[in-house]
Amino acid sequence: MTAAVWHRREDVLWRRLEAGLLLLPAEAATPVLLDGAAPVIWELLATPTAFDEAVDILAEVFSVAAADIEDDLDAFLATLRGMGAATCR
Amino acid sequence: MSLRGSTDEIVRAVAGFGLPGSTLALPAELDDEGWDAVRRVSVDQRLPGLLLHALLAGKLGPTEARIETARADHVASMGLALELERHLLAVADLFAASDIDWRVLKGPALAHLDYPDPSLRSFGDVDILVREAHYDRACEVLGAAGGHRRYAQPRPGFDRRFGKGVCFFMPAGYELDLHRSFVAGPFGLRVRQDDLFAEAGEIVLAGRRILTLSREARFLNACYHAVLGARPPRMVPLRDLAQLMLSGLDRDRVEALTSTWKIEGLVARAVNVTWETFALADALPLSEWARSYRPTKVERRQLAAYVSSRRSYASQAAAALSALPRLSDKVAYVRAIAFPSREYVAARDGGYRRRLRRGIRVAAAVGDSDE
Repeated sequence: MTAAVWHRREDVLWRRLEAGLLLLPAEAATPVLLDGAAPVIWELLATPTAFDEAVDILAEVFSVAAADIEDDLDAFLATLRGMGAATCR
Repeated sequence: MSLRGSTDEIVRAVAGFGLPGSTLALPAELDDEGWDAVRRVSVDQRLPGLLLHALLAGKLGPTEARIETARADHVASMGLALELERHLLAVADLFAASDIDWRVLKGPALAHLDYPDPSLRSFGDVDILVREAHYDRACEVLGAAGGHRRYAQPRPGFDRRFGKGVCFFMPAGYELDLHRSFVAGPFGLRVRQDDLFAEAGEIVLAGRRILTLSREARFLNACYHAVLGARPPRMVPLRDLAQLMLSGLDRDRVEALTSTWKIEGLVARAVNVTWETFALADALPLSEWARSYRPTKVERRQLAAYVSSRRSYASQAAAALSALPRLSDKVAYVRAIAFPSREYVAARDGGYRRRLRRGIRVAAAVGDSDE
């Protein structure tokens, strides 16, 4: 779908909780809790990861078709970028 | 109420949950009244992470509603931790711009270095140790940033020379404890800053390196916190101490610092209280040593200034004199607490009349210490 490479921003404070992933990006007023697959995606983004590679890995991990998660992942990554938690190049 | 023990006993088991060797047991069931009490005290004791894990392990009658409540408590607690870490980074910027040498103490350091998962360690303020030579400058920097001291110091230079430190209320709405030492009084005066700054650990927050005390110095700080802090001891510093001991310490380094600072009695007491609190079955060389250690008369008297039912600022102030080796230091110390600035008296004692009463108590305690 795209060759964009995503990476978590280094200046984010975060905790992995039982309830999900708690993020406090540098520009955010308050921490944000993300649940579902967020902790797994956050781990993937510890190193620069191509979108297509992320899709393949998540499809494998969650035993779903890659085509079924592309849109959701795209939206989630856009959310991360919007809140100042991830970059895309 | 279907409790298998009091609230305090259950909370103690929550605090020890997952500790290798702990023989404390949590009940599988708990009625609503008991749950409400355990939850309230656990949150107050900053144990929401351990409480949640205990529920998820099938303890304490883990209904969906209780798990959801504990989850929310945990998220709130970790949200506070992240916000405090952000404030810590802001302080790091201020101190870096002023070439101030410092180390972060307690919560953030222990959470990231000494717990298997940082989300298990909650904290509610920021504690920083600053080099004595930089202490006054650090106070000025925090003041310029809008921080307000909780108390004025008794005399100019007292905090840097003799004090534990000072609490600043920062404009962002949090408390920052700026430490020169771990505690006030004789045990605080025995802490040698050069030892604390000789080595360092580090944590990484938001991509930034923040220096902490060394592992062994963190252990000694935890001993101070556990034994000389709140009465009865709060659970978190005891858990900190257990975490540090069970995950390995350089015993030679601990012994060297303990001996140099003359705090064998304090360390032995802290280790024994921790072992008893969590009913730890495993014996470590340090716990064996602590069990067999017999404090001297002087150690017992100085510890009593902190932990007995008659403990007071006055008795600690009096006991501190024995920890000051030089006559000039003793004179400066007594002068500062006997004739503090008017600003200090107004803030701390509510006026000279109350100060006089406290002064009489100090005099009485000095008399006691000479017995």
